[in-house]
Amino acid sequence: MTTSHLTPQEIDLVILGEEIGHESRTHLESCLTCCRRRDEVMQAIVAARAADPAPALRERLRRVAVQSMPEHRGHARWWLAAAAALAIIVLSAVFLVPALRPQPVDTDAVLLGVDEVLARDPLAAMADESVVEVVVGGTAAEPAGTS
Amino acid sequence: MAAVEEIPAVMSDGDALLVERARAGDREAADDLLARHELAVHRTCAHLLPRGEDVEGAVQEAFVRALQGLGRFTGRGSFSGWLVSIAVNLCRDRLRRHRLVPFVALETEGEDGGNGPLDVLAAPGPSPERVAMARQAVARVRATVAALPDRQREVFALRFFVGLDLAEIAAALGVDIGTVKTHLHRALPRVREAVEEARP
Repeated sequence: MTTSHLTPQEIDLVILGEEIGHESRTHLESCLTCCRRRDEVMQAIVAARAADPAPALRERLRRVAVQSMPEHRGHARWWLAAAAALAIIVLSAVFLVPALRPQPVDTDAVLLGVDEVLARDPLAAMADESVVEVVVGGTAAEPAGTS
Repeated sequence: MAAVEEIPAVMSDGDALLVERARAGDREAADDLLARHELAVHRTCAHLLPRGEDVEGAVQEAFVRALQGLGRFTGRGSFSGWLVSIAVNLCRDRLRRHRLVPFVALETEGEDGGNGPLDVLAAPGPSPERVAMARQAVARVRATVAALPDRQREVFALRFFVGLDLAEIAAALGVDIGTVKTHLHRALPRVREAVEEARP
């Protein structure tokens, strides 16, 4: 064993788990004084650590935290939302598409209405061009005698 | 020589599985996950907050934040390091918000039902002088750690009280390993000197 004890800086390095010189390491292995210096510091640090909480307290803290989690954010929820969206799309298609489709014009009814108006007031013949177009266009394709 | 229980540096397969299940809403898995690493959070909060501060409340808040933020955990580092980083940030927030100055009480007995950490220091042969010296050494360590600059105190506590390795401390504090070592090399001599001064 060499006679020179470890320096305070070397004691620090040992405590930090870092490398010291070969000679110093050999000295430490056989020097009770240096081992005691190291152990005193290490043990004081360990003793200064706060006591761990009791298992019951730890469990309570965990339970409260776990209960704060959202119910289930997993795949089941995702599929449920997707299925609901799909159902809405299908129902919309079933009910809305027929309602939006243009209905055929009942030309007979329109012509009857025009006849009634003209019978009451001949000046109503000055009708709006779009009305005339509907009536004339519709009747042009009709076979003669249907009005 | 007594040593602080080491906490794993990388995420274990068990942790990865539990994280996956907890993300899917499995509460049992979430509880198991917290149980594995709860001591690290308790020790972090106990040493970064002043005595008398609501350590339990801080631990619970850290747990809640972790479970609600599981989606942000990338899995690149260890889960315990990530969890501790949440606890560290929470403690910083509380200290800042309340303008609290860390402090330590000098008495050390009765914390764990009479079988306290002082027994480690006092045994064997707990003569009154030896016990008194042990008390003084522990009190000096606590006072010295509490008086360290914030970042040195955090690094020292995470290394020696929580038991994280250098890489985990670096990840938890968002610094590199060299910075962690620098803080440790500055903090430890002060703590060692405090212990040496307690000698008769």
